[in-house]
Amino acid sequence: MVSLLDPLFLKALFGLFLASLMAPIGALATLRGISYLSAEVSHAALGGASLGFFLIYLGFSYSNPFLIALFFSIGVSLLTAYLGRISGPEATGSAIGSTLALSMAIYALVRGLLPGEIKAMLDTYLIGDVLLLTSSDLVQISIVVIISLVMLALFYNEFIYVCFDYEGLETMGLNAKLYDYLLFALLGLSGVIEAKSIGAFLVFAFMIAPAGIAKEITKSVSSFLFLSFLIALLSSIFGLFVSILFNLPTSGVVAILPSSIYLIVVLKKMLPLEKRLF
Amino acid sequence: MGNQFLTKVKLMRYEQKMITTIQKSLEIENLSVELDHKLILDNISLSLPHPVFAAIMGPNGAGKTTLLKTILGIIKPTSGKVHLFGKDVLGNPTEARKLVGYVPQRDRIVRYVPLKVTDVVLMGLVSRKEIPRIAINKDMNLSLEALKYVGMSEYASELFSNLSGGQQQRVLIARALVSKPKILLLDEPFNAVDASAQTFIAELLNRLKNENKISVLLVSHDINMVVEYIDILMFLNKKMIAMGKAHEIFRDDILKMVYGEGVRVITEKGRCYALTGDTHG
Repeated sequence: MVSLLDPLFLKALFGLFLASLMAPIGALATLRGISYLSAEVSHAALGGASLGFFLIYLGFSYSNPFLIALFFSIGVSLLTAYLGRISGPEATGSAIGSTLALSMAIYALVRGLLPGEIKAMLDTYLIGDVLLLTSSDLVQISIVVIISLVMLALFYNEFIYVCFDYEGLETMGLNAKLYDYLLFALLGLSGVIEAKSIGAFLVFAFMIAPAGIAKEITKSVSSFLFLSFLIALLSSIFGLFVSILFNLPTSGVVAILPSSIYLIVVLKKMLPLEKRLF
Repeated sequence: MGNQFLTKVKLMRYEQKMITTIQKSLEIENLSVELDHKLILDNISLSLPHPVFAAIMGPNGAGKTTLLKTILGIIKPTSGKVHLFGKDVLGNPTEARKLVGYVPQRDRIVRYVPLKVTDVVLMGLVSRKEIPRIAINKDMNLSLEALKYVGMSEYASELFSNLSGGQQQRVLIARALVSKPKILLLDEPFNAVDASAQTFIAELLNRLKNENKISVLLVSHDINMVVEYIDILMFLNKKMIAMGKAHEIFRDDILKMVYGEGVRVITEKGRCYALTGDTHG
């Protein structure tokens, strides 16, 4: 069992904290009506990481799978935004499906070619294990998180306005298209962070479920975003402790809590008022 | 005889001078718009004085919203010119937009974004600032002032999504007014709004024109609630079918050109109302 003072545990804790910091971006995606994209960009990151590892396998030792995953993820996110803009929401769905299939196809193809050791490293992008995060991983993740948070802080109002009234914003002289693309790029950044820290499979637990819960209990945008972060953080800390205590896979346990709370909140809403316990 | 001629010449010069100094709020010349290779607006020309209460009426798909978006510089026309208070909208949309307050169709607003009423109004000021766009106390006071004008100050800290349709419309008008525009453009302001709220909004718009000298241009499939206030009414169906005072152009033959056979005009207390049977939104 991992001790609480073990560097592995501390690194995992820090990794989960960083992943939780991206939850408000998932919440923003919910407001923009593109929460599904959070999962898609994480899978795109998986495709990008596959290419990065494949390059290492081919002998390009300078290849950085994280960086390639980052660009892949942003690229797919921006492509989706562009297709949605020129062809409407129906085409966006098809574009998402196609790029998701492409990313997964790259992953499946490349994985089959890789030797066991590199294969295992690639698989951490699919089903992440925070206990395996290295110091170098944390540095890379921290840089992307800081860039994302600076962007969020700088253009906070613009992102909210784009979500609320895109058309109205254009008439007020603001470049709504630019801020919309920036929001999609931000989502691309979050996708790679989540894939690297908790894995693409479990991205819903950090990007969508906390926002879903927060939306039911908050009455302002700032508290909605903050609560999304808090739910992601608390559930991940709880999950980490439980997983260590019972020797269970961390990412799985971390994902269970927010998803379960979300289901409870939704089910509660379906009950008549007099039958609600809280 | 000679004196009479001179007086007439002087009068003509005076009239000419008056005509050239009357401020035009909106001037459109030979405007055509094509979207996806489909002609949406065909050679539209119009000129509105300032202040004016004008309305554009037409069936669904007549190009009303497209016309508003072209006036705002959001849609680029295939040909033609648009000037707002003499400023070229197509050449310098940013400058022209500073003069405009815009109230979009309410169904274009994402109402589940948990924004408070004051935040919605502040958007009208903050979005016009330079980066970093942050609201200051003065902005807050202006927002509260705008909310007071539309009778919504007591709802300032409510969630926008919790308001009724009419209340939301009033907040959106406050957002458009907070930047002190010279002209207010409204897209279907009476959609999904109850009768009393429609009357309130109609009176509010009339007050804006008369007391604040703000020109009002609204597009609607149904203008019965504002017909008594309107200075200029325009019927649009891709082309400008008719333009003039409401009582002059509210005629069976014109309405049939706009809406087809399924329209009826009724007269009530000397006013004409069109029963189009057309619903929108």
